[in-house]
Amino acid sequence: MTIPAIEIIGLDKCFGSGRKKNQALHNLSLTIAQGEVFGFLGPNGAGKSTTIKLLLRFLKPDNGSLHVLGNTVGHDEFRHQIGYLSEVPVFYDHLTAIETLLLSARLSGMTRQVINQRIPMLLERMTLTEATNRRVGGFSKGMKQRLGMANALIHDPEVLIFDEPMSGLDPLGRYQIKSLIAELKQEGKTIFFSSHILSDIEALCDRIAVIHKGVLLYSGGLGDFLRGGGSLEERFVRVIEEADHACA
Amino acid sequence: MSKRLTIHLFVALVLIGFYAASNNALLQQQNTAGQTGRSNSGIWNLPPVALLAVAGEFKGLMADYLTMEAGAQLGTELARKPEGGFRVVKKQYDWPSIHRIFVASQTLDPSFAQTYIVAQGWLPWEPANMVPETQEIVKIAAKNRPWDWQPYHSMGFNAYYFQNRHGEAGKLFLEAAKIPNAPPFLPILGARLAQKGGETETAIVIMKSMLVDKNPEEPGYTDMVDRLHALEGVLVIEQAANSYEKSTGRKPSSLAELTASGTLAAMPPNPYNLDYCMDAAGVIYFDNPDCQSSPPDKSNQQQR
Amino acid sequence: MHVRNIWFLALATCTEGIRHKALWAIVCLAVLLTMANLGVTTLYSWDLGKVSVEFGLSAVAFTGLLLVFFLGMKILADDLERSRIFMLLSRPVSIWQYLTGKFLGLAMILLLATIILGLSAALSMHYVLWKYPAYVPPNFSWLTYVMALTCQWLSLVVLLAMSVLCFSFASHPFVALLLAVSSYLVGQNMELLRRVVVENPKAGVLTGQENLVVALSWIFPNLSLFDKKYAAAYGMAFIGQEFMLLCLYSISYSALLIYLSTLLFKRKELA
Repeated sequence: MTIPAIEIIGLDKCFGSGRKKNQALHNLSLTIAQGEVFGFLGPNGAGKSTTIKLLLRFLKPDNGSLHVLGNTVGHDEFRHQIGYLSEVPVFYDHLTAIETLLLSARLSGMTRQVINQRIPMLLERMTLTEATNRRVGGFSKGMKQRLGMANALIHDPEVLIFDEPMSGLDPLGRYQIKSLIAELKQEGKTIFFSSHILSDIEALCDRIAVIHKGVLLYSGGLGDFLRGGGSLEERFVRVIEEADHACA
Repeated sequence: MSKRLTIHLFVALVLIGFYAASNNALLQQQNTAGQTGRSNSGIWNLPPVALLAVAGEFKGLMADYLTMEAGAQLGTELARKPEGGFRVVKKQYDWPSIHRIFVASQTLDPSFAQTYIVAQGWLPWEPANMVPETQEIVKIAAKNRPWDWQPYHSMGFNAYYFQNRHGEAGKLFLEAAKIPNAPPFLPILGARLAQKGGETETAIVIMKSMLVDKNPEEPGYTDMVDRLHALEGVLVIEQAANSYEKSTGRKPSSLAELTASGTLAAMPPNPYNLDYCMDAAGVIYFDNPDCQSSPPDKSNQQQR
Repeated sequence: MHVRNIWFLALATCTEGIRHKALWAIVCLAVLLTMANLGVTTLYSWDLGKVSVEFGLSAVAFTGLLLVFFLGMKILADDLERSRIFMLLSRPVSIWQYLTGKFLGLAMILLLATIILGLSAALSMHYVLWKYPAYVPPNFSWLTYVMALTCQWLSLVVLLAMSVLCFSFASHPFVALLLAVSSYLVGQNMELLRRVVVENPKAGVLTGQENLVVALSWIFPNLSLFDKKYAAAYGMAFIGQEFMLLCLYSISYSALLIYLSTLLFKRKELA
């Protein structure tokens, strides 16, 4: 049995205290197999970004454990095996595109030889060649997103974690990212991405999880989710409404 | 001109007008408030510890500023004459406050020369009359400027000229003489004063040494020049009296004998417009024309 | 690997800082200030050399403070507020490597600014000392000036480390800035306070609190030790041994603060 790419077990996370206490995640458990594209969907504020930040150890869980390729998050070093694209990629404004990628590559422990091969290749793949020596502060949103993608891929990681990779992009930008995810899937990468754009989930994902108000409502195959009939959007809305009624 | 531009110009002119009027009025108000207002509100009034704390690592810079402030408060004030040109306004100085500025500056930087030199130039003289305070300032400078002979020299002058403590003055001049690069006249001065002998020539040397660095505009300059000329006159008469004694075998009984015998061609001019006088002991006075009838007031050797 | 990561982070921080317009605005203003030295010294009639040297070094000190409190803390705060830190911590970079790299990068920026301003001040000082040779302090030495400049930089490095510590636990960057400024003021006057309390039986509320004050003087950095403007201005003796001890003090104290910062920063929620 192969080790799961990502395994989340009984995750709890709470923000604030007293009257301002907010239970962001409650007993979340997920397993993502290697090589699959896994969609993590939910409405705004459901806990998608929180889950990803816990996975990357930007936050510490109150309870539960997270594992990436068998490495326990918070105990073992695993970040050389993952590539992360945040919801809004933010870079050092005064560094150029190539300097940004160089920094990430060096911090990932890559050799000079490999860096010299991968940076031009990725810049070309992300259609950023003309902006190689331009400072990132002058980039458009789409360019920053593509640079973020290049940044995530620079060290050729096995697992990719994208937090709403298509948010804020124009149709061309979204098409480019979707094509890229499809290509990465062909390469055998594991991709875990969160989104609330259902058409993208439907087009790309093998399995999905639905989260609402910190609670996992569904985890499994996309086909099984749609078995009840209707579009993904209709099914999604129904699941959310049922969960709201159950809570009320 | 378009209507919009006219409106903009009008608004700008109105605002500039208000600004100019209020600024002018405030400046006028500050000028009429005068030195008292300024000297009571400065950072120099803080206790030394607080001053050091506020200055932090910029003690030297603040000391420089305070000395500059003292200089500004001591500066000449000019008023424009209706017919053109300027006249010097006699300023009212707040001497205790000015003294505090010097002390504050020295608290921050005890080695700064400008502080003690300017203090020496103003404080011991009329109308400030702050001799002990000046001695304290110069003493601190002497302690913190081991390479500089001038603080001890100034202290020696003050002890001699203002405080009439010739012995102490001598010791101070000798201290100054120990410092490398001190001028060669200092040990002689010190020795003479310490021995309390040869006072007239000593006094002339002291006066000349102090006048070297003194600015004619500083207070006390004219007084010192007058004093020097008077002492030079006394020296001429003393030398004539010594010559008379050598030739006749006895001291002259009056100054008229010196001129009558031809030993002294004429009485030297006295800048104080008084007659020189010689008492029974042969001491020559430039400021006591009735010295033969009354004993000299040795407690008031300072000139008018 | 650790050292390499720290170096890469330091280099990136330095590059980012050097290209910041705010840095060059501050440095240009400071260069103008050191040139103003030429005019300021003519306002004095004595000890022009000391005025010139002190003005130059004070300009360096003041500029350094601006760089630490505004540019340095802004660069640190931006990493957190704008989530730039995620780009770095999603790599195999530990918190201590991140903080150390940032600190060293900012220290390099401070060093560059100190060198530029030191040279600018030296130029104006050289002119003043050449023009008014009678007012050159008797034992003035360019070596002492360079050592005083170095001590100035070391003091800024300690202050920077203190700023990193404040940043690592403060809830808001402005709070961190206030704490850092307060630490600077305490550090500059700690020795004064210690002397006042120990030597003065009537020290107000601190009477009898010598132990507390002595303990505080060990906790807060004694920044007044690094202030060698007086020595440079008057050509006072500044022995090599004291200089080496100051270097050791600065490096060890800064390292200790960065270590503490790491411990505190690890407890911070970054998102």
